[in-house]
Amino acid sequence: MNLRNLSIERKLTLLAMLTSTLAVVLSSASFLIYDLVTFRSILSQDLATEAQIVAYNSAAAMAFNDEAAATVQLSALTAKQDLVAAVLYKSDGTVFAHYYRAGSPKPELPAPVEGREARVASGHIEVFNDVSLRGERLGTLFLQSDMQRWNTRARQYAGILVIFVLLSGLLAWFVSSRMQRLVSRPILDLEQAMRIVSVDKNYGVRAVKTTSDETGRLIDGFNTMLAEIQHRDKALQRANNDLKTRTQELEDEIVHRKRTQEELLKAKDAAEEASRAKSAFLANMSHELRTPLNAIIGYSEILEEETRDSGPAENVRDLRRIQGAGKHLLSLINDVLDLSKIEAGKMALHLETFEVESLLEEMITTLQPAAERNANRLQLRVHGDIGSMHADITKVRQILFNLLSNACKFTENGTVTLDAERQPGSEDRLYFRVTDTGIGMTPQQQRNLFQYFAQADSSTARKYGGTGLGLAISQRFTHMMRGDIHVTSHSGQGSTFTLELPAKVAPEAAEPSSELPASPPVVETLSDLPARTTVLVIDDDVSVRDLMSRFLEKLDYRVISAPSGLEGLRLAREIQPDIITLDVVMPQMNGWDVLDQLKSDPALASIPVIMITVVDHEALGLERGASNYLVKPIDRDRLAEALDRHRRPDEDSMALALSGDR
Amino acid sequence: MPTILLVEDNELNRDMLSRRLIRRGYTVITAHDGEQGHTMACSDSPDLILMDVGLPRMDGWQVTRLLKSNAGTREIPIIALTAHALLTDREKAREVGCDDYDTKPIEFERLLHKIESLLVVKGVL
Amino acid sequence: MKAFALRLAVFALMMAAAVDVRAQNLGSTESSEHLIKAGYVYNFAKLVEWPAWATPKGQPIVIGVLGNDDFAAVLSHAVDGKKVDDRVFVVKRLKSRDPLKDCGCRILFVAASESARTDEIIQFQNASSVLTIAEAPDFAKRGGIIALTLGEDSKIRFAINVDAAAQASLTISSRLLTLATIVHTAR
Repeated sequence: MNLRNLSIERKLTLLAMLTSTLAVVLSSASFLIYDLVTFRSILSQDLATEAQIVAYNSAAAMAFNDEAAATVQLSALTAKQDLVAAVLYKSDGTVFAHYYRAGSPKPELPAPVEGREARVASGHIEVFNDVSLRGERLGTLFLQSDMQRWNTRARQYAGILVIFVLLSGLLAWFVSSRMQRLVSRPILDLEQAMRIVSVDKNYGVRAVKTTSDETGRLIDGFNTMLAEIQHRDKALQRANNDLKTRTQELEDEIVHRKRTQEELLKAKDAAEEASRAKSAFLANMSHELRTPLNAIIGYSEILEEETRDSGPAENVRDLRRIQGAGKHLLSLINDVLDLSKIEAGKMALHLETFEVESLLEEMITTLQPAAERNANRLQLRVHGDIGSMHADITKVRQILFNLLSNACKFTENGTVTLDAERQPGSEDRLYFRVTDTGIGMTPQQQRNLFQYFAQADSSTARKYGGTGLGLAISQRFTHMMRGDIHVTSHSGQGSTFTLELPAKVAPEAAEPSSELPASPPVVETLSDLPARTTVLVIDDDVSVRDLMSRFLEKLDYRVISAPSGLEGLRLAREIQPDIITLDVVMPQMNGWDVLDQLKSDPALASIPVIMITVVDHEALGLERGASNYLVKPIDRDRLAEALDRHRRPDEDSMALALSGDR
Repeated sequence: MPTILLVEDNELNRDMLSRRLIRRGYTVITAHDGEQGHTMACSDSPDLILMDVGLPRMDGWQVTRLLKSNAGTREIPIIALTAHALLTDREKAREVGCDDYDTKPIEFERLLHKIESLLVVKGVL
Repeated sequence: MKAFALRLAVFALMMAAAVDVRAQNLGSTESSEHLIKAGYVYNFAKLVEWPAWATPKGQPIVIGVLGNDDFAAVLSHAVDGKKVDDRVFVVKRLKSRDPLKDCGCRILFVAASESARTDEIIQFQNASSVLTIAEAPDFAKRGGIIALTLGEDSKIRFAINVDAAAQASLTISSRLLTLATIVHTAR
């Protein structure tokens, strides 16, 4: 058993017992040894005295050679129990008389020694004493004792010692087992309190202080510690509860917000669905409306032609009215379609570079008949070198057409002038001014001018026709191209509409919400080489990007590359490339996701996308809106062919005006 | 006079456009669906095709693709006619290989201008 | 050296005496008996104390031998050079007719032949504190101090009249008494 693992009670008891027992044993043993040593010397002296007496008494017997008397005298020593042998030697060393204790073996007799001598040898005391009479030495007496008394005494003492030690140990145990409580009781109480604290986690427990010694101070310290723990525990509990409450609140809030978010998402989805349905409905409507209109206008034109050749002149006039009404209806439908696209955010800019002056001349030519209808003079004034611009030509044409046709409509016997001017500077801008000498507008009319279905007043529509949508659409187109349109007018004195547009319309202008800063090099490249077909290469593999760049540049494409789907999307919005080649297997955002985003973005949906991948899913690619699908390794000829199909035409032979005549 | 194949499912449009073209001296043959249009383009070798895209059985895009991939018909100019005034149609027309593109309702003079210029290029006129 | 030589001589004498006694026991020669009796007389002298007036310091112990010159010679030889309390021995031969008064004896050995003078001797002994030793067996009973006799077993024995010794102012050692036959004066 390890002494160190004993309980404090036992340790203290044992300590007291050991200490006292040791003290008792030591003191008793030293006393015992002292006593026994002393006793032995006493024994030795006694024996020497005895020898003297016997020698004196036996001297006469020896002198008279009376052996019997000597033997009788020695026999008197029988009373001495521990005397083993008594021998009288004559002076010549022979034995004169002797006595041996009965029952003891006959001892070995030593040679006589003259004079007196006492010695202790092998547990015996031996004494020699001269026998002499009146100074004359007659012989030697030898006495031998076996120290029986000493041994008995020693045994008795040992017994007493053992009993004494046992008794004192018992007493020490008895006393110490009571006294140790003075020390151990408070410690055990403290330990008990600690156990309760550690097992029950009850920090409200306090150890009872009964003494003012070190243990008392220990208990004080323990209690202070407990109080501190309890205090902190409570604080922690409070904080925990607070936290729980707040967490719960937060969770509730999160749940609430999630629900709201879900509802919003649902609402958004529903709204988008509704918007899509609306757009689809409008598209269908326009189609369904146009088909019969097509017939109405077409047949009235056929009839007009045939009537002009052979029929009555009044019929020709009526047929023309039918045509005019039909065309008005068509323009209404087109305007509504445009508006719905603008509202749905599906109106995209198709930027290209074109010569401004040829566009303006074309416009004048187109509108000449409309001007002549009201006996107006239509004139074009180009100031300085107007050059080319980079914009959506269709929309520019539509805006100018709207402004000019309005001017012709509201002017009679007057002049409609189109001024065009380039103002290079910090921002290269073009100004188109349409000035008429017509009826003009009141400030009130000017304020409502760009609202939907806003005309000067309801009578205006009856008199002049028009949908009331043209200017609103023109203004939105202008804003899409980061331009501005405004009017100055005085009622009765004509009006001046000013259209200002940047000479180079930034691609992202189509998407006012995504105002990403254009990276300057790209803009520079764009401005440097506006006419080349731009290909955006999206591929995570740098070597593929390099190869594609070199190959495509050889084919005279302008190449911009993006190392990831996200960057590709950003660049696509920024530079509005003519063609995108798209890798499918990319980290983070794969090609399909990029394709979906491209196709769902109205500003980008029209950009043809050529998928280039090792994965053969042509059907899937085409279904998702990819224009082409090439499988790696790339066949250069097929790539060239696919790209060539989407190459920007040198001249916009296929461009068509949606607006038609308006 | 050049022969024009008009592929159009709408009877009114077909009648109207063919009459006006005939008045301008063209020989007009008509088909009312994609398959017929394809068959006639192959068999009658017209000088030009006016192709409505929203056709039953086989749409105009498919017919155009087929004709443009066939060596015998590849050279016939095709003008796509679509009711959808959407820009994607313009792209699509280019993609499938249409030579030109026009939207309904037909502005006859404009269409006539496109027809003539294509025939001039082809050397028929 | 002298003491040593003396002691050695005594030792030799004692041995000779023992041998003599044995020889006497075997052969009963007179001289060996004398020798043993001389040793006894010497031992008596050592075990008896006289009153102080009788033994002044430096004075020799005079042993008177009455009636046997042979013994006197042997005794004289035996005690020659021996001392008791630094007092030497002097052996004086006394004739039968010699007066005992003024002989200066402290010990008087009376041979068996002189038994007729016993009363005179006892008178003298009492008056002068003389240790009297007689070979007459009834000597002690008649008032003498020591009777020295040869027993039937050829061993020499002695009887001491303690009353007589006390009357003569002599102190006899108890050690001697334990070896003697104690008698009292018959009245």
